[in-house]
Amino acid sequence: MEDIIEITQARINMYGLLSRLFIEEVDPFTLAKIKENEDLLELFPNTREWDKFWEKDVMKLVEEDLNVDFTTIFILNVYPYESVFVNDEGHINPTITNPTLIFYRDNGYSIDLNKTRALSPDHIGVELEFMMNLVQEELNALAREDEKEVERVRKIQKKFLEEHLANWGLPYLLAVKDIAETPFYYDVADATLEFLMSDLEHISNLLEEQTA
Amino acid sequence: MKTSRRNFLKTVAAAVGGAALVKGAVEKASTPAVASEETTANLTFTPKHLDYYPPFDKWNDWKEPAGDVWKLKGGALRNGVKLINYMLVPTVCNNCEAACGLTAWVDKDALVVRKFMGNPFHTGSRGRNCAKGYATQAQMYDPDRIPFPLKRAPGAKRGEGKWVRTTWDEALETIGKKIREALETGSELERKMIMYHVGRPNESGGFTARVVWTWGGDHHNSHTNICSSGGRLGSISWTGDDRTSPDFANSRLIFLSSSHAADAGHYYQQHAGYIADARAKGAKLVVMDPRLSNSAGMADLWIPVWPGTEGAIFLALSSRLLQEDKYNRKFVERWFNWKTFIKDKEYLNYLKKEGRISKVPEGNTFEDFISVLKELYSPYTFEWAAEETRVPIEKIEKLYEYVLWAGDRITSYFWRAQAAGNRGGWMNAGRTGLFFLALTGSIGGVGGVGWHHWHVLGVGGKGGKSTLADKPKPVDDWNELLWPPEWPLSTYELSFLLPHLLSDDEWREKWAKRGLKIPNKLKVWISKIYNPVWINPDGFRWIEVLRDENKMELTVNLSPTWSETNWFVDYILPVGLAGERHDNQSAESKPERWTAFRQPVLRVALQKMGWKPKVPWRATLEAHKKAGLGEVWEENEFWINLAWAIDPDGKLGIRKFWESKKNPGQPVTIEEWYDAAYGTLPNLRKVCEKLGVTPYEYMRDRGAWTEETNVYNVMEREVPYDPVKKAIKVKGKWIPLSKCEIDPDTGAVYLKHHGADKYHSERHTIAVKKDGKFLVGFHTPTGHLEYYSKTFVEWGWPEYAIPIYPKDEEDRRKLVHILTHVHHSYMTEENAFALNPVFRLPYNIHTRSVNAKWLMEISQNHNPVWIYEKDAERLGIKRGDPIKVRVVDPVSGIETGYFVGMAMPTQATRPGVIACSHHSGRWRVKNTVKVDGFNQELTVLSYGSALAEINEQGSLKTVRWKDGVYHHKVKRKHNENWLKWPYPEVNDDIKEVWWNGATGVWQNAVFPANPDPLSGMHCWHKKVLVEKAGPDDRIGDVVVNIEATFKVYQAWRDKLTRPAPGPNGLRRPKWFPRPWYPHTDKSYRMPGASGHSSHEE
Repeated sequence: MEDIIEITQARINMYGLLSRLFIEEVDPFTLAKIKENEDLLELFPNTREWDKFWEKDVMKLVEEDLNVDFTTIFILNVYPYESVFVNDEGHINPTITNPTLIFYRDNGYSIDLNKTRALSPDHIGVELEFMMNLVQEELNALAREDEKEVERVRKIQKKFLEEHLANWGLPYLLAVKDIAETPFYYDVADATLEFLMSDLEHISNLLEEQTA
Repeated sequence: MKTSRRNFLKTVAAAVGGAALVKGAVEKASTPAVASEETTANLTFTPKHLDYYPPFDKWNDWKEPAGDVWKLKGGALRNGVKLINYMLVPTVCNNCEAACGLTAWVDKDALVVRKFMGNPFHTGSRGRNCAKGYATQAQMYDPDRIPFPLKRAPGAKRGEGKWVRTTWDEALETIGKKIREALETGSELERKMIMYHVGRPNESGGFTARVVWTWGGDHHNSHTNICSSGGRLGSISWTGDDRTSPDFANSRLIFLSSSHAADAGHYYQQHAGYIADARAKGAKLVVMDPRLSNSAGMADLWIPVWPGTEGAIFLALSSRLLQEDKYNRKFVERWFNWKTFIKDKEYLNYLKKEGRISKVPEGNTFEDFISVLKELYSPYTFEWAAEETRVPIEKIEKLYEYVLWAGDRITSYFWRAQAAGNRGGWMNAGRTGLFFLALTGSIGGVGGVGWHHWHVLGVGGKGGKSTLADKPKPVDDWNELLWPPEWPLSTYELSFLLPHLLSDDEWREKWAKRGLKIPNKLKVWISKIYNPVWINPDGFRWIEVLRDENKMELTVNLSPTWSETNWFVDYILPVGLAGERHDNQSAESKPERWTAFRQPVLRVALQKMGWKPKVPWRATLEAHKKAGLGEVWEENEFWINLAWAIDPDGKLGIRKFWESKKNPGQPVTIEEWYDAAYGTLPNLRKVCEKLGVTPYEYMRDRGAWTEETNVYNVMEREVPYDPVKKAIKVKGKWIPLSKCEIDPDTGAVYLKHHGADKYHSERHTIAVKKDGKFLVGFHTPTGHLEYYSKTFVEWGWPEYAIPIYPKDEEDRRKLVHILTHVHHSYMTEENAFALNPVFRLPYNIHTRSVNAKWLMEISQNHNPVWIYEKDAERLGIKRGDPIKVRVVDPVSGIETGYFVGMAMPTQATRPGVIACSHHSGRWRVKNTVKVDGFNQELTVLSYGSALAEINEQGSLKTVRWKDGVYHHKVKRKHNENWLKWPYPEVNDDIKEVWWNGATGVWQNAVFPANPDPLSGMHCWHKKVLVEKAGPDDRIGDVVVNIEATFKVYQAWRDKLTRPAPGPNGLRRPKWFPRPWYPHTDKSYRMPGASGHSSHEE
């Protein structure tokens, strides 16, 4: 039992961290956290081998390299919005007909875009944050030993990954890897890709075990 | 990196608090699916599908942000996003005949319609619309709208462009008085001088017909003969019903003889959807059209036929089915009137004499019938058809493969296209096309072709229970200006000849000598949404007559917009668009019976919000003033008020038909009228009883109702028979069989009168007896599908009593009446072409889209002259070249004039045929009009017309485009606070107008009137001579001699027609009833004529 609680907390952390890395440019504080944490650095193997990462002043690294790459990737090339990615014409859908928004609302969540710079609720960062919230719910239910609720929330997570985040996210992240010019954003995309795949597998296994 | 899940978890578990890092944009709502945020709390829907509509219970109060919010605020859920308080009011699109459902999204705070969307209750349009439907909002707030009634300025001549502002009351009084004076005389001739002329009717069940009927004479004219009378006659001659109602959605082969599916055919958007549904299920689409239309472009097979030769394909297919015994024997034996044909040895002998068959069979069996058909149609081989139609034979073979595969699930639609383009279009479309369809058995069943009256459900004129008197008596008059004797078989009025008939003293005198009373002028001409000057052939002839105050004493156009015609009338009365008027409308767009309600949406919204009109029978006008739209009225209330203006004291017997039963002494209200009208639908009544609403309320709130679905094979339905009464029940009445005769060959049950046993033209068939039962059958003299129409023999057209096509040069001379006037044999000059002007542009509809900036934008530069690239090369014509298109009439040999268009060499039109849609080329003569009584100038057709310079030298008329779009700022400069016109707050985008507007050319002006000798259809296609334009020519130029066009009209009339009377002195067959309202038997008889006429051949 403790193991599952630990795992679930770890998943919350993972979703939270990734959400942060996609939603806007990295800040020195977050970067320092990564730099200082040996365990965390395992997620960034190419970054770890990147000379500038260690040698350059953090502020300069952020401003001259990482922010430039962030702009190249997310502002200029591969827009991080599900509606853009799945729509043939590449239009962003910020309206209340956005299917992702409908999913959030159906499951009791609202979105306050004022807290971000995102134009639309289907930004990958918002979707990751939504997953984080769902996993938090799971954790709460686990703590209460409310098995039904745990199952319900896991099903929502699975559905959301299948219909949204893992559905468009995987090809999207491959595209990000392709465009990324710094090892850092390459690693961010790769780690997210791997994590989403493994997390979907994880939830599916748990649900199978639960129903078995 | 190959990090396993375990690795992730190990690394991150202890690493960072994820929740501390995120931005917190995702928030838990207090209860699922209902937002707690201030900005989102009122958003009441979470659509799961693209076709989502707000739930009906929220239509009166619906909140949504404006569509462009994200641009301004960066997303729908930002702070400060204003939600609009909507009321959704259903109505019906008014831009074409399809009557698709709309919902008006009325902003309750601003009293403005923000958008029009579809109506999910409308089972025909299924919540969908085409561009024209959504453009209703642009039309509603068109800055060129006419905001109040206009009257020609005192002392000004018609066409001078001098106007004064007047009131609806003044107009009602003036028009009412003039009509009253004519009717009070009691003279038939005077009555004939009052004419109502409808352009776009867009109503079903005959509200306006009843209006005109209550005036007591033969007053009702229409636009139909520039539109569909060719399509109708082919269908009527088979079934007595004037058009097919195909079950496209369940069809296996959709064989269109037009550009119907993806362009702009009749019932456009709805039919296109059903065709798409069928194709999704594997159906094949074949498009027969000289032009590679959008439909042909997406079809499985394009048959690029020479225009007007389509009948050759139909007969070749029919012949092959017969020769190979692959016709549907069961169906043909049961429903063809073959017994009448095979027993008529006199007619068979006639066919023998004509060389069409070698012998007359002695027997009368079905086999004998088939053997005659096999011989009759044996010359129509695929090889012959390929030669005649100029279509490669492989294409016809491929089509035949599809036909065999599709069995009895083949659909088509015959309306405009070849039926409207060609002399003999009625034969080359419906008459031969339905022969082919009927041979396959594709009539009546699932995936086949049903009929208009099986499906259409109009009740607009049936509100008579709400008034003191219900129905007027049948009228006694026959107005020859509507129905000249030369066209007894025309399905509708010869409307486009009105100015010619009024100008033709010789013609009038000729018939006067034979006892006909034909007026030489009209005292009142009221038209509705009609623009004959521009849309009819020979527009300058219309201008001549409209300007002549001795020919037209008082002229009125009920019209929402400016038009070329309005420029020449006395009164322009601004009536409503789709969301501003009451009409009941239905269309037979699928095998079910739906009906819909067009409404003034601002009035409905206001009333639901508690507003009450001061005068209930003028509520629509009051509501439009209250909402600031303008002094815009609707016809329903206008007509009711006009009835009182004509007959204020009731002496003329008109008032009682429009006097409220509920409140005698007062005009009937819309609510009372439509409650009674919709109350005639039994299934709707049942539902209303359950819901506790009135039929009016049901329709007001939902906008559409479907009375019956899956309406198939109506001819097989039993007619109730009471063996005790010995009577059958038809249209709710028991008719004793003693009053009927039964045709021994076909079982047709028809009313006894005037030798109906002898003359099919006299018959009124009410049922057909088959296998001992009374069935509905078809409304023909034989109760069956009339392969052989004896009526045509009785009217002196025996050669066209069966489906036929000229098979060789000799036949072309003999059967000239059904040979297209643009046949390739007429193209003797090197630069001679057939001109196809008749196709619609998908986003334009005749003359009613120029008031929509959005439609004008998407139709720019879309109307060049299509010319086959090798033809262009041969004549040295390049893309964009101005070309002179000279119009030549093959009947008289007269050249009437020319127009100059822009050439577009292409492979998308067949060799020898050029194409240029006559749906663009609108013009105005002034940019603005100053109106006495209003301190802001009105603008005229600013965004969709060219500024024209018109020169007239006697009968020679010329037009030249001087300028295109009139750019101006949309501003309110007037000082009438109540009036929002010209609606600057909804015309922000007008500054984006980038186009010129002067594309297209007014071709119609150069076209002479070419009335088909049988159907009366104006034959739109033209023989033309094409040459490169000279240095002084400009695109848009029109030059026409209206003396020449007049002579062409006379030639078609005198060389081709065979005038009434027919048998028993009939003016037209009794079973081809006059449209609109009933006429007495007496009116059908020509004065001084009896027995058989001697036909002038």
